[in-house]
Amino acid sequence: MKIKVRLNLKTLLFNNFWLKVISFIIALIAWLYVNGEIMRGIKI
Amino acid sequence: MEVLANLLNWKAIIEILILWFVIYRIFLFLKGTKAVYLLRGIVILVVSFFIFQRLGFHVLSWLLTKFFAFFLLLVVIIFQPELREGLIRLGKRHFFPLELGKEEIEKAIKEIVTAVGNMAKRKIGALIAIKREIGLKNIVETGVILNAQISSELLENIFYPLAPLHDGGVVVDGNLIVSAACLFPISDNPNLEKTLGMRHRAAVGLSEHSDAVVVVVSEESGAMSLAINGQLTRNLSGEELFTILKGQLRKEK
Repeated sequence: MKIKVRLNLKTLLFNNFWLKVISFIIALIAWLYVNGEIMRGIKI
Repeated sequence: MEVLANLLNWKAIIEILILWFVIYRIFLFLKGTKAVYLLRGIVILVVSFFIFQRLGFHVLSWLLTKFFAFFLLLVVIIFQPELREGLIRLGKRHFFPLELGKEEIEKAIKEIVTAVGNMAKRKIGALIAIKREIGLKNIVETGVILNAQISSELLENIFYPLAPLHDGGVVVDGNLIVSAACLFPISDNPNLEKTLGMRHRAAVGLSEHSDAVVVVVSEESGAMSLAINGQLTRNLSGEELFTILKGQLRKEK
């Protein structure tokens, strides 16, 4: 039973690994950019 | 420091995770379509825009800003069918592995294994790609669309020598044979055995370009092979093929 859970987790993490990494980087950059813009708007 | 403090906020983490999920799903959807080239174009335009802004090239930035508005309209018109399909899929939410029950998946695998076994006995060449998460639309479009319920008889009929659709590969999505006589990309992996024919190279090629599971039957030896993530496993028995396929298609759940 333990093996099955580990396999599923492995699939969840490593299936299309680089696509997940790139998506995460883009999401982070997009969030930082938009958050920065909002903060700048608030300060003004 | 202020940015870091904002990042550690739980709301920010949830926002980033949602953004991540949405971007990942968009990439997965685009990966199997021609729209991936469009995405590359957009990325180049966006990067150019930021570079021009940083360097203070106001005229080029202005031109790109104006072009963007026109470009977005153009994208909506050109990719209207893809966008419609994407929204429908978003509405459906579940993709193939979740749409079908365990029994239905097993039944589809049984049909494939039976057909492959029969063709292997008679040394009839076959190439069957089973779609998983990544779309194979660009491959499907190169063949003849069938959208027929999967059955071993139909698969054997398609690959029967001299049958009009026997050349090329079949794409299976769930319990449907989506398309036949499709052109698969040929692998240029130099580590592949030189003795491998074009059918096997096509199987490996497609498995390199997508997460599809590709089953091959050799015309020369009647051997059954399986290509997953660019790796070819050769000379499988019917039972081995069934077990691997079951494991590979179930783990998507």
